[in-house]
Amino acid sequence: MEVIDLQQVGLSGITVTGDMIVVGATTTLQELSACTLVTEGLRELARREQPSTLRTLATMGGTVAAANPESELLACLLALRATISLLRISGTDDASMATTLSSPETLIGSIITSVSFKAGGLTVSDRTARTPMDRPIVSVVGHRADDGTVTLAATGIATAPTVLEAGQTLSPPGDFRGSARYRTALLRTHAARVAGRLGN
Amino acid sequence: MTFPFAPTTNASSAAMVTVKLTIDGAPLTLTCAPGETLLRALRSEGIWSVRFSSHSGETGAAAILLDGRLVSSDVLLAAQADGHSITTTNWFNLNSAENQLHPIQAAFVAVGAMQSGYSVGAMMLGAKALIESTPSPSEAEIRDMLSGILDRETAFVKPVEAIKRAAAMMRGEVQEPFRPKILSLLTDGKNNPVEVSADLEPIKASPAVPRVIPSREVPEMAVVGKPEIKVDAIKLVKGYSAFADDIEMRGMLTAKVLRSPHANAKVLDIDDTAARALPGVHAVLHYKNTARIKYASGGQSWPNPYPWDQVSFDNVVRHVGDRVAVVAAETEDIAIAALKLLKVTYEVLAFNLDERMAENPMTPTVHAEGDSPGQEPEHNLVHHLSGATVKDIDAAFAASPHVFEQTFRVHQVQQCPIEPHIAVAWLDEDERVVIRTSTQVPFHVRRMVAPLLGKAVRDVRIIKPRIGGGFGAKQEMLIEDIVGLLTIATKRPVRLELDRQEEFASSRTRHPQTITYRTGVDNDGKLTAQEMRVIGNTGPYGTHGFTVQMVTGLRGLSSYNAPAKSFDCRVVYTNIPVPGAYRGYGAPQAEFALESHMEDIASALSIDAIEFKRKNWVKIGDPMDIAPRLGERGGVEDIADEDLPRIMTSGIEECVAQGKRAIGWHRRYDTSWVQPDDRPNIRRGLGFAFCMHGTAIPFLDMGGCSIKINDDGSFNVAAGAADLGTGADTVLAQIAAEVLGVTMDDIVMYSGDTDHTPFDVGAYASSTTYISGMAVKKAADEIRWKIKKRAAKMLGVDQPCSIELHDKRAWSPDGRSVSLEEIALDTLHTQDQEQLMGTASHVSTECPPPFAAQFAEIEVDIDTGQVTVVKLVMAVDCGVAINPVTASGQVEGGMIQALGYAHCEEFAFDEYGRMINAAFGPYKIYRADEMPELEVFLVQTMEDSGPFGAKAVAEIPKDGVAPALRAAIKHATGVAINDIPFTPERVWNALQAH
Repeated sequence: MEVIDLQQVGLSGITVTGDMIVVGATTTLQELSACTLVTEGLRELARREQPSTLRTLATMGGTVAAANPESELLACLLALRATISLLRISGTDDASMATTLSSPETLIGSIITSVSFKAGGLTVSDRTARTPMDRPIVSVVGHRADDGTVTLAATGIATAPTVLEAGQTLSPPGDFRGSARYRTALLRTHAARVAGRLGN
Repeated sequence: MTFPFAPTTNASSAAMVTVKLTIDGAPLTLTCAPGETLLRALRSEGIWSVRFSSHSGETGAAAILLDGRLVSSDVLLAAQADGHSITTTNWFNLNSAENQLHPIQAAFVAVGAMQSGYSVGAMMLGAKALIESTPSPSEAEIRDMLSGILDRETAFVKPVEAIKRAAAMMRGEVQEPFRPKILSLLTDGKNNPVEVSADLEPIKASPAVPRVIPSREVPEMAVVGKPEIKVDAIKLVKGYSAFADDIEMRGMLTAKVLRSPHANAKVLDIDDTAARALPGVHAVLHYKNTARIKYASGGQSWPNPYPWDQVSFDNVVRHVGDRVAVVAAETEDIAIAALKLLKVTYEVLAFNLDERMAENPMTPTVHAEGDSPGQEPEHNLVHHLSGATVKDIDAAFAASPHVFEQTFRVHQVQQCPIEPHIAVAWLDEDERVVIRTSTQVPFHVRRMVAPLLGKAVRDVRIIKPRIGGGFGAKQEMLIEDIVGLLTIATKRPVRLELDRQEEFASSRTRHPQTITYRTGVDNDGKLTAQEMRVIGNTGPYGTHGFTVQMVTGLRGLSSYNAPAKSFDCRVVYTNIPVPGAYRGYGAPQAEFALESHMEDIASALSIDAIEFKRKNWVKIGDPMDIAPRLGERGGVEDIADEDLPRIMTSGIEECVAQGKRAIGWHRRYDTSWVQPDDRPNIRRGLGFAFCMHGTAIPFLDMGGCSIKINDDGSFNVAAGAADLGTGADTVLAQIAAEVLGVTMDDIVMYSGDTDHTPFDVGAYASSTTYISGMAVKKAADEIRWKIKKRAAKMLGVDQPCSIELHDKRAWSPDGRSVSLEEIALDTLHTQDQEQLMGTASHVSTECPPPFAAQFAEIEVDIDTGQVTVVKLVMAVDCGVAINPVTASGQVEGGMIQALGYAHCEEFAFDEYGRMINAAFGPYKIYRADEMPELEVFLVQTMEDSGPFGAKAVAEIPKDGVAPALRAAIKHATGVAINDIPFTPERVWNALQAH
């Protein structure tokens, strides 16, 4: 096993470029959770993503690469229509968050350098979990951009966080915390609540 | 199939790397493998305060500051720390004034913010980082910081308070001493019920402050009843070596165990040729080269209850995670590599996890070998237990106007000590086997392990250092035979530490049960008969299966008076990970079913639940009639009424009154509170549970103590008791100090070493304060009398009994005195020289029950089934709390463990019988930033059979949360659920069906 430490390659930090927020790949979730440039909803989901002792180590790029199917932070990035910037031997490349999650092979042979999304808007989420800070059984994250566009994404209803589209057919995987039938019911409830809070 | 116990390698075999870093301000150069974690690198440097709990960082026991950031060092490579600054607990020692503690250390000590203290260093470092960045942190910020440090003991109540106080001290604010809040009685003090007015103000004090309601019968004492600091607090906040693994021995080998991937299989062969040939491997043990000696692993008194159905290594594996073989090697990497070279041939068999299916003729047999004393393999039935107060229970039901029957299912959970099982063995200079181990029962372990090692008991020494939590998981001879056998085989020290996955699937758990109650009630709401039928799931081995189920019956049929009672229990084998002792020991299962059943009967009869329970619960003078029929040493069939044990003390009415006020019970009748207009999907509820537990096992539990005086008038107290973080050593020291008229500074405690302390059964059954405490009191009384005689002689007083000891002096009636130091010097050096000592042991014929009122406030999201627990209140009659701070800490921690049992913790298995959530996270335990509010009341009563009036407090907090939660859910929604835990889907399903 080869281990390459990316700490010192200068990929850390959160910057504003035009109307875009750019989060460097080695920015820690602790830094993201404390950054007032991003929405309160995103900050809260960054905080929830890991407990204190891991949040200081876990990075934005690492979170994207790990692609935890229960990650509300990734669902949030989906709702934000985030773009992943990649560095390949052949040069730089961009991929959508949705593509990255649905086709993780996209990342092979590349280094994630940053995650970017539009600034502003309103981010809200609603969830069901065993305890308040547990990984949710189902969570729906919604974002209303400043131009009024609303995007919802969810965890717990597929093998990866998923953007919710009208007319979509889903077959949630069940586990000991929630059956497929239950997750389907939760999705309906949480999506309605999030949409309502976003004014839809 | 994937092998589920493939251990992870934490260091690669690549070339070593050099890491330069700064530790607590001093430069340090490490040479380590590229894959070595920072945790291992630091511990190899003797930095013991950084502790192992898992490989995945989620427990925080290994947290340090990296450039001022709190990080888990078990998921950080040492190489990643190159060029960085590391801060460990030792920083506090280096940055405090001479002979003083740093304010953060001082606050943790003053508040009693640690029990075992296994993770206290991580908490203090987190506090340092937080306070430096935020001098006045909010409670939410403190809890967020603590979110990465799991604690199974304190419920974070006192650590949060300590950090608030530390921040204030560092801002220069003077803090009042941390003391209990003394409250007035709400009742008349004679255990009569009282109406609690809705206008009563809540208690104005931090939740960390124990609320003490004194009894008029309890005299004021100098040391007992006072919030003395824990005797081990200083070493813990200083991060000194204290725990079993905090030891370095030249030539120590590392052991790793090969675990079964199958729930039931025959081991047809093991080929260890390649493993043995691997350089660095020193021993490989398995069924082919280890003596087949039958034993029972439960840490219980001699003779261990049957069945004796285990051997160190067997040719059958009976659950996923069972032992197959063990390797001892120069390094962990080599041991892991050797495990992979073992060629094991299995014949995989069908298996069963469900106790309700165990006796079905089609169910596979778990034990077919037939050489286990006391074992009945037919139908997987291990024991059939019964006991009754009448010959014909059915006749009593036939005469009852109302008969109710309900079945409840309680599940499997794990103790989850943050320190996993760890044992280190070596041969001493006399070739005796010494085992330093994280055990609750050192003397039982010595007796049980000796024959497995082929040794006499005299040739084995067990040392119990500080224990990082046990909760019953360590009331077992679990890994000591392995390290003992390996050290005999290799003549080298051997260390074995379970990883977190092994801790879940291969240590011990709580017994699942299916419990059916049938209760008869007359037209006045009085019970006429109560029957309890249980199917107890003891997994593949008997261990505590007999006694836990007996306690289930005892606790399940003791709380309420009924003229006729009957208990019937079938204890069965299955292939789940092994159940054993777990704090509460059969009572939490019973009390969930009993209290839920009583709640539902009250509903069916349209009687207020508390009134119905009060009408029937046992009161002072009532007999505990089922107890003699369900004794650990077998039941007594015929016993005269006057010979029955009776309730001698009870403060339950004061507990109910204090609890009602604290929870705001009057809101239960306010529909606008239950169904808030502004949150249409939310329903609120309040629930209550009556709790009654035991205090030790009468005629069985024994503790011993010896005390000697030193030249300076101080005392060495040697007790066999095993403090596993509970504060037992502190409580025992307080008892000794009270008797001897000295302060805690004059008591040097030593406990839990089979060579150097008297026998004690160990830490279980809520017995330490009551049994070991009385042994200490007796020993102290004995040496006290000798001191008085010597003082009388020195002072020229005729009557030694007229001498009083206090303030470190012996006083004559005319006011003259001589110091204990002068007495010690006189006895040791001057005339009629002798070592003044007191030695005593204690066995109780009584089992005085503590009582408690448990209240819960919850919210239910009726759209999703999610239950949010808002507040838990427990008011406990534990007799006299010897130390109210440690006692309240026991209740706080116990309640949160009980909340996990009720709400979110569970074992989940796949179709192969493999546990699929053997890690924190998937197996969910509460963390600091999601805790409900907690409030604890200590209602004093004077229990004459206990030391200075004490009963028990450690286990009763486990009993009431699940039924109180169920009652609250029922109050909120009308839904009554008979299975735990109350996970969202379970509640949602019940709501859908309602």
